[in-house]
Amino acid sequence: METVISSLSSALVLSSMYILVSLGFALLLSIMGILNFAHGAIYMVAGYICYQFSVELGLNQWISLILSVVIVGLFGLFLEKFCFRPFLKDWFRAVVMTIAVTLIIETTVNVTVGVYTRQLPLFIPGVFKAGAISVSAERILTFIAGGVLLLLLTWFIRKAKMGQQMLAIAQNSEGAAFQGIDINRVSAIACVMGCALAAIAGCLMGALFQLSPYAGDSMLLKAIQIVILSGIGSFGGIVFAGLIIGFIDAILPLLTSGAITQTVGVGIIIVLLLVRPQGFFGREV
Amino acid sequence: MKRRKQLILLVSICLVLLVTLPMLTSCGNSKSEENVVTIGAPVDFTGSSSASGQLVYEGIQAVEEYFSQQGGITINGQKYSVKFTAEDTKSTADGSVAAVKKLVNDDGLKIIVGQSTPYQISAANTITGPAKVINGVMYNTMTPGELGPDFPYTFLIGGGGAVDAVTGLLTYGGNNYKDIKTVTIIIPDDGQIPYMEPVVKKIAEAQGWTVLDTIGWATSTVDFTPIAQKALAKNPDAIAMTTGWPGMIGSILQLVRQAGFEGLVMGTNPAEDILAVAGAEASTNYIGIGDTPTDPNLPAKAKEFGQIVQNKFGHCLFYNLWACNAYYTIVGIVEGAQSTDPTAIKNYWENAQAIDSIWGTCPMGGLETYGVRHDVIMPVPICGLTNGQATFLSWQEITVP
Repeated sequence: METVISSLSSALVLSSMYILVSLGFALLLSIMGILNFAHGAIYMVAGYICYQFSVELGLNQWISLILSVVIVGLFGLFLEKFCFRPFLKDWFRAVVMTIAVTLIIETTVNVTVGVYTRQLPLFIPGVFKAGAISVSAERILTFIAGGVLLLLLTWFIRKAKMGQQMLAIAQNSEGAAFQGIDINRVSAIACVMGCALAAIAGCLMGALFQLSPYAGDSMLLKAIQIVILSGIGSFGGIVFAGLIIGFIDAILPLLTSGAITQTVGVGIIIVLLLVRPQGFFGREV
Repeated sequence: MKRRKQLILLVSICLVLLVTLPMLTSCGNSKSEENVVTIGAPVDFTGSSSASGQLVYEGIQAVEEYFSQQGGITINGQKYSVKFTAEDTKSTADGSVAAVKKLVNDDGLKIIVGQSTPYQISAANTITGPAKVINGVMYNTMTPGELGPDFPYTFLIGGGGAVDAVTGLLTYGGNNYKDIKTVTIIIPDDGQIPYMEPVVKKIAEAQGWTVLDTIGWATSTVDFTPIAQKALAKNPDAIAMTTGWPGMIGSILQLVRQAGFEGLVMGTNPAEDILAVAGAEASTNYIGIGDTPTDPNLPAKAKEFGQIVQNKFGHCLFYNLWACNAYYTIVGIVEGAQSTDPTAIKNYWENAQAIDSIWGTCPMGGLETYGVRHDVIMPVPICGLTNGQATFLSWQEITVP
């Protein structure tokens, strides 16, 4: 029973963080058509920024998280205007630009603080115990935060005017432009939101696991897997795919060992894609 | 037409200069390099390990400065200055090959010291082996291609090989924690499990422990909850992690403590690093490997190098001393061999009774473990965590048969 509860908590935490990061990634992909390889680096650097504020400068940790999200979100504005918008019509150059941003961010962090072991202090210390079952309060917080953000984002996309505009652009950008939607403005807001979501995930995960200059690489890979599995253009599918991949990553190591876990996990994804190449909720090409 | 001819002439002159100038300068250099021992150093300047690579390079520079201050070394009555030539490995196997090729084939160097990951070591051996170049490696995980009879010119010099580290850790645990009867071992699954597992089991059994389980983990693992669960599944008295980085070992320590496990946890990382990850509440009953450069228990030579690094770079971290140790030791071996010829160095080294390092005088060993007597066996610094406090515990002398 203890193992089941621990695995469930691990699966839900991983899933919620994967979903948060993937949603940000999917926003950019759907609205701007850009495969943002810098998304993982943004996720990573947010944790380090939060660390600087909370540990080095001694600010309240929650305030540090907010500051980190704001800074990274504003960086999203910079990215959209100077790195993505000029290359909207040239996919390859856009990808090269995102790779360049990734390298710059990762190398900067690696060279400055990479050699030091860093982890964010827990946002909520303590362990929730019920009999033989124990789950850290931090994991519970991470899952709740992920769930709340997901609900907010779902409401935003479905009900808010800006969210509807984002959906319209994702479905047909030319048609949306004809309807008078300011593509650049909406893209900029989407970029800010995407980066902010990655930043929140980065800070929460940075408190659970060690900060590392290359932590974003594995998270980017998960985001790409989830977006492909869900179907490009489907935000709802990301929740479903995120849960699948989160559960695979949490449960499979219990059943297999070592590197086989990763192989089996990717194998499951490949099989799912063979059955449904467009993803669970994607449109047939 | 005239301008075109002038342009062609200009380009031709530039090409000729480009080709001949290096030859002219190298002619000049070869004369002044007669009394210089140049050692190649493949270093992770870029890539995922660049942060530690930079610290390693600082250690190399400190050693160069040290020998410069000493007036060099003496070989057959002649004074030789000591220089190191570093090349970037890009933290990859391909980069290691390129770096070692440059050092061996282009620069003509006969002694290389530096790789520390299995894939880099294996890659470099493909160059140094056939060229009969001394390859001093700073770590080892028992995988084929790293160290053994097939690589007669490869030696383990860092004092940080996985077998040495685990031997020190488990021996200290066996000597100081008499209530341990059972242990679970955790090993990274990067290809080393089939080779490390039997060795680690043997070391554990030598302490009178029963190994309940061996758990492998993928190096790309983010959440170690399943690993921690598996480690506790058979109720061991202790958990031993043979190799890993602070994020992994610290996470597992935190997770097992949250699950209520109070037994000894052993890992191969310094206590301070684990404390930073696991948090004060979970950081207890842990022993690890590492020493702080500011530790008053450091041997005199290590303190001396620590001071050089501190003066030169404003800090001294573990990786600095690790590098100082390796590069100081190799220079001593060259001087001990009284030769710069790799075969003479190899013969001296593998038959030497004792090797001088910054940690003190160290025996050679490894014949039974690796098939070659190519391991400089250095004492292992044991540190610990007790109630959220990191302390240095002891130097553990080891034997690696």
